[in-house]
Amino acid sequence: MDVLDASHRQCLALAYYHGMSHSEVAEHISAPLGSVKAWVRRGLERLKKCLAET
Amino acid sequence: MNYSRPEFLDRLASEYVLGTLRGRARRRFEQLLLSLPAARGAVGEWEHRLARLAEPVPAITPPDRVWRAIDARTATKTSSARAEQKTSWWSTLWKPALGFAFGAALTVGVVQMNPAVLVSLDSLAQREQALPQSYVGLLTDTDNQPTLLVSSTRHGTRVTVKFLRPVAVPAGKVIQVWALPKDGAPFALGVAAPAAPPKSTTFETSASSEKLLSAVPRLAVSFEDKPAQAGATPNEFVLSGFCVKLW
Repeated sequence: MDVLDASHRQCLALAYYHGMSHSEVAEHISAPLGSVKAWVRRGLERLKKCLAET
Repeated sequence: MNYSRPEFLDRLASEYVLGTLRGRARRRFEQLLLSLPAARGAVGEWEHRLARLAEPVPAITPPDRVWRAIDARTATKTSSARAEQKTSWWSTLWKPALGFAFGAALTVGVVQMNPAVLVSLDSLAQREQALPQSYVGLLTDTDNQPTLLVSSTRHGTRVTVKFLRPVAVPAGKVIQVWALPKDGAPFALGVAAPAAPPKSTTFETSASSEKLLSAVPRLAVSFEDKPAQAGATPNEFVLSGFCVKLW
């Protein structure tokens, strides 16, 4: 998870480990819902790309 | 949506495994999983990828100088501490106590930063198989026969009513579902459209199930002339049962 930006990492961790929805994550870190959705999507893309390289 | 586009499927699968695909979209995708092998493949790949996040953090071997430094410090402390040992019980205790406190604090800190340490692949597998967090009520008739299964996901606003036995609705009446809070008067949850067993019907609620049902131990059904308004008093209950949290 080190390759991810802090915001991406935090969103993925909250969703994955704490079972939060997009809106729950947004509320938890006080960020707009749209940003959270984008961070989650980009975080997943980054994760896929970096795991494909290793 | 055109599911034949692999990038769509991949994105849906990723959010499905992550758990951020919710509600109707999640149910639609689950249906799709049954019929589309490519979707199952994508989910499998994402389960594999995200499972990597749950692997324990690899152990780091500290360099020798760290051990030597610890040796040097603890050796001096113990030799000087020996002289003090007889002076007070507290002096023999405070160091281990402090060490324990630091250890505990450090453990809490590490686990908070890296919950992966505690998430095993087993629990991950269980989570995948577990039923979604839901409120479920089983309503029985006056002969104690299970008649309606009322369910709703925890954060959803849609209640599904499955008819287990036929419900004889008097002409011109509606099936009104009531929530019976632990303390307080019954409030109307919604009106279930009748159906023949084993079919289900659904209705929408004014707020999420979590808001409405978290302090509601029982549900009941009465026949009303029209959908009950806020503050209305129910007619005689024809069905009733417990409402429980499925998590």
